[in-house]
Amino acid sequence: MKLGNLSYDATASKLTTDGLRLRTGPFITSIRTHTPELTAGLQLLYADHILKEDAEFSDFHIGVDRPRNLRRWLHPQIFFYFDEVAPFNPFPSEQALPLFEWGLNWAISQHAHQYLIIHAAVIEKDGHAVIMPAPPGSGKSTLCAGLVHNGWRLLSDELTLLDLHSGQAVPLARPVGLKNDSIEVIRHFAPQATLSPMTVDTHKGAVALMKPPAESVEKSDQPAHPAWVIFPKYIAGAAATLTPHSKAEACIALGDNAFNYSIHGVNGFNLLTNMLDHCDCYDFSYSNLSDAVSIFSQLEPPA
Amino acid sequence: MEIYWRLTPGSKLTWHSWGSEHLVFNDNSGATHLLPLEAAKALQALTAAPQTISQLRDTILETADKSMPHPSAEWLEELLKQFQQLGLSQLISE
Repeated sequence: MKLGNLSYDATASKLTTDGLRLRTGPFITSIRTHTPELTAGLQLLYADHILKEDAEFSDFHIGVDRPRNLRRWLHPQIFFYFDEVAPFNPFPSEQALPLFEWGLNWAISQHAHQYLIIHAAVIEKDGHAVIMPAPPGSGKSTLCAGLVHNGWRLLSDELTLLDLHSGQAVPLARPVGLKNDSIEVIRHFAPQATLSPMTVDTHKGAVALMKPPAESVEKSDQPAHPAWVIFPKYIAGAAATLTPHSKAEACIALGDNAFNYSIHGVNGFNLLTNMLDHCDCYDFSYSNLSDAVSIFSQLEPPA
Repeated sequence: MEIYWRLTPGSKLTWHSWGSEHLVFNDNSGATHLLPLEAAKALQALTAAPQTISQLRDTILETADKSMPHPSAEWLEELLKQFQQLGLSQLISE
């Protein structure tokens, strides 16, 4: 059963009692909240995700709730809970939905060490994956959101999970975080995209979350072999251009962008170098999403 | 008394190369280093046995492109100091 098949009241009931168990990629996440904004947000953004009511085990136990003191009513704040513990300072209560997403990213990146986890978007077409590591402000999420509405499958916007044995990228199709100007860019470029209400004045500015395409969620059990590592960079007025990037420098960058490279030691090094043997690496500068989509559609997998 | 350089004891290095780019993973530090060709040759020579700077220079020159400038003793000394800072090499006297 998908979350979208559940009524708001039934969803709220699960969220306020035993917890709502969602399949998010390879993980089962148990979620509890009394916050209507998060309940509505989950219903909107995770409508195509599978409920796992029969699961005996949840990988992550997440809560997002107001404290039981005066701050519940006065300038209300909200806490993120992981295993009943609040690892962060509270956020303004209107940030419940982005806080859930940031918190779940944190939980996965800090605990799912069965994977090499890289801070990078990953998309797939015809069985070939593109890994896109990039710092904040590089236009990674905007590019990712544009591409997954133009023939590419979303594996993840934030966390590339690499299987240590197969080297494949494992899908984790969850909402894509859009910030500031990119929100309007995607509204115009992909009018079919479903976006959450905008949350303003977060530490990242204005934020809206884009629902992952249904097909991407449905193919959550289909990993893909990386074929390209592309470092995107939005540059105002720049033509869409791919420039070859050194594999050795790409390896260093992927290690630097990984959350748990040091934990895996030489296995992480071997995973990245073996993967890069079969990848082409590029820098990609762009300013226009249509041009970017066109360039990506011409990518030929390495021989 | 001659000055020798050696690989830091207990180091386990794993190599991977693409053309003239050489990556080495140091199991001791968990760090990955990107080395140019001559630096990779120097580190590989230290892995085989302790070397003086003169010996290292000869080792590098054995397989060097004769049309390219040869590494100087000063460059090698600076390289070995950088290896030392990275926990890859140590100075010994014999």
